[in-house]
Amino acid sequence: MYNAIRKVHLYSGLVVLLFLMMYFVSGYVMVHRPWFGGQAGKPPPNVRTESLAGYSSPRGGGGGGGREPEAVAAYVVERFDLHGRANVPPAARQPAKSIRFNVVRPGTIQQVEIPHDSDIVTITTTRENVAGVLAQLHRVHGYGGGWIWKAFVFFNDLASVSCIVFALTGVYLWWKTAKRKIWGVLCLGVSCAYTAGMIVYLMYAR
Amino acid sequence: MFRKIILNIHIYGGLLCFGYLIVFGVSSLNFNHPFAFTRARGEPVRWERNVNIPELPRVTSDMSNEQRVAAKADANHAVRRALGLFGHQRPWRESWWDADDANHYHASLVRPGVEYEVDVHLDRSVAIVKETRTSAWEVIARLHGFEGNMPGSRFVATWGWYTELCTAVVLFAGVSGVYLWTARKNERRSGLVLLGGAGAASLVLMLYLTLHG
Repeated sequence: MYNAIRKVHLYSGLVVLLFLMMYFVSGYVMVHRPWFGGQAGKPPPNVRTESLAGYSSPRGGGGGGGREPEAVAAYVVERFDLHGRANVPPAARQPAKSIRFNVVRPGTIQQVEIPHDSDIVTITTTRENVAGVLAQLHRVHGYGGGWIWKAFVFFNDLASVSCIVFALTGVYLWWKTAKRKIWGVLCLGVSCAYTAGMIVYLMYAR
Repeated sequence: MFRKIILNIHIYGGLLCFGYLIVFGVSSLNFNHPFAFTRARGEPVRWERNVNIPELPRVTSDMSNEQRVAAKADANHAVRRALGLFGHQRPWRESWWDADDANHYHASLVRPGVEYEVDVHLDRSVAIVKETRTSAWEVIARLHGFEGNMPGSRFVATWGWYTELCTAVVLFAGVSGVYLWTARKNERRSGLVLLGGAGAASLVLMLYLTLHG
């Protein structure tokens, strides 16, 4: 049993090591962004205009101007080769006079706007500095987008589960190997009491 | 001797961060899997308290947007202090001065675990509070990466220090774990395959997502 648990602790660690390190490093950069340059070093946004000429929409989809936001977004992403995950607000949350959506990937946001009464597509590309790329890598969550996004989020889930696995298997390994357990009991006791106390305090304090 | 020191820091640092790792793992899973039951909220509870808030900051029509937000933030914190609460506030659309009643201000206060919508009536010196409790899931999610800024609560602010400690410990434990593992010859090859393969896959995923999307 000890050897099996030890192998779980070891091998799960080796598998997710790089991912977990990325999350802790990027999380630290997010929390202390000013220490890592803040918003400095970001290139200015790049704006380009294209034309929707030739696009025929499935009309009557509930979108403004007769264009369905999801359908337009899918067409624009493919036609103008926008790479990333599309965030398309539903018709009810679109602006009154245009269709607006973002195509995002860590470090790059492409904002697309198409007025209802026009075929002009305005694409504003904003790039991040290194700290911003790390912050946006950290924030990728939710299964959606292509297979590469799903794979990334799956690794994210693995890293999350590994935190719990490390903690539990680590306690078992310590318990089985430590000759004098008092210090371990103190460390574990303080950690559990503090964390549980914090959660309970936030749930019930006024 | 050196190896023993590394091992002890790995073990006891890990035990000290046990609670944080559980919170971190559960909250991260919740971000990817926001099931409805983790978003449950309690029934709102209403209560009143007498308050005396002289000179509650007001907004005027000649203020810029930033000035309005700053004034409402000051007003919200004044309300929070008068009620003996701790936490943050929402100075945007959620908080407002009543256009029809110059003595009525609505403050929106929030912190992990609870939201308060407060109607302050300055002429009656009373605050009517609608309090909505969230759930343990939401508290755990909000503790994820919480950096310690919690107006009105020194205890909650200590979580920021715990975050710093656990970040350092986890990074150390990752590196020290690899060091401790390499001492065992019979596990080196299989571990190297796993570390190399998974590490390369992780790096390729991150780079591909960032550069191509």
